[in-house]
Amino acid sequence: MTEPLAARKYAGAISALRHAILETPGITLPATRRMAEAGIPTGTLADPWLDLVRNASPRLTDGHVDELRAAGIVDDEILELTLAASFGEAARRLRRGLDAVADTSDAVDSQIEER
Amino acid sequence: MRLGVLDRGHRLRARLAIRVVPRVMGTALDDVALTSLYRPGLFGRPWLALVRQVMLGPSGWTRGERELLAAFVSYRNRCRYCVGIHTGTATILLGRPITSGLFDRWRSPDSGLTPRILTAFALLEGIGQDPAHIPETAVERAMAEGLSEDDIVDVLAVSFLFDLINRLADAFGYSFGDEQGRLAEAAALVRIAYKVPAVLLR
Repeated sequence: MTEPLAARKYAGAISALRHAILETPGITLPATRRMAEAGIPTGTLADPWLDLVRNASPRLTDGHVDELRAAGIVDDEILELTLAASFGEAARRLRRGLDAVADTSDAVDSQIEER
Repeated sequence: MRLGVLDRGHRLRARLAIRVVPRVMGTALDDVALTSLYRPGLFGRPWLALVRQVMLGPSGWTRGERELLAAFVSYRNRCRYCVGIHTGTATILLGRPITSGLFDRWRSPDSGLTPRILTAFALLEGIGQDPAHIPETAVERAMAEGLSEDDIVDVLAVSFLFDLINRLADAFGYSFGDEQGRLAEAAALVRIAYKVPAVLLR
């Protein structure tokens, strides 16, 4: 499978966004943000929130944020982890689409070569 | 917004802009802009660069069509805020009323949508997370119906942007207020074209 050529035009900007979200110094460690991005438990009390961000974000309410604050999680921590989880979920969906484009293009190329 | 830092945590130069913009633009900065101006190195600077490239850069899709795709993705993600704003921007740029009701009946013969947009909507539906949909089939069909690889990648890029920002809108409680606020924010977004002075993003 090869990356669709057209995908390259956004690769640099998406990579820059990912680097900023995951690596910019902040309250949380980059390693923790990378876990949030990858969709694996961070071991923090924010994990239930991050699961909802990925899979059911319209259900998030003021009450969820109140619970995070009550657990001692500050706004910047919520921001950094939510950005990472949101980026990760969007990137997984993008990858699914780009893989499908690549598979389809490869199949078309093979059919042309066989003729 | 639910996080106080996104409403009141900005640096001085951003706070001044937040205060001045309503006088100049006739409407306050929207919640995406407020998020972008808070710690811009963390999100806003690379985010807005990507948004401008995807929504305004060279593409086989017009600016209005890309706003329509954004609204459709947001509708599928059930993001009330982004559906409201981007049906508004699409309405302005396409010169016809775009409402969320259109997305309930987009396959109907009287939808008034072009064949290319119908193909893009089917593609977005087909590559969704629903296991019943096989993404390769959706891509094959889109190509058979005339979309190029470039067209498809551009659709996927719009989808990426809104899969991300829809989640932030839901998580942080973005709001445009009332209908007047929605229309004003949409009109401002069309006018400024996702442009924020570089000095505010340093």
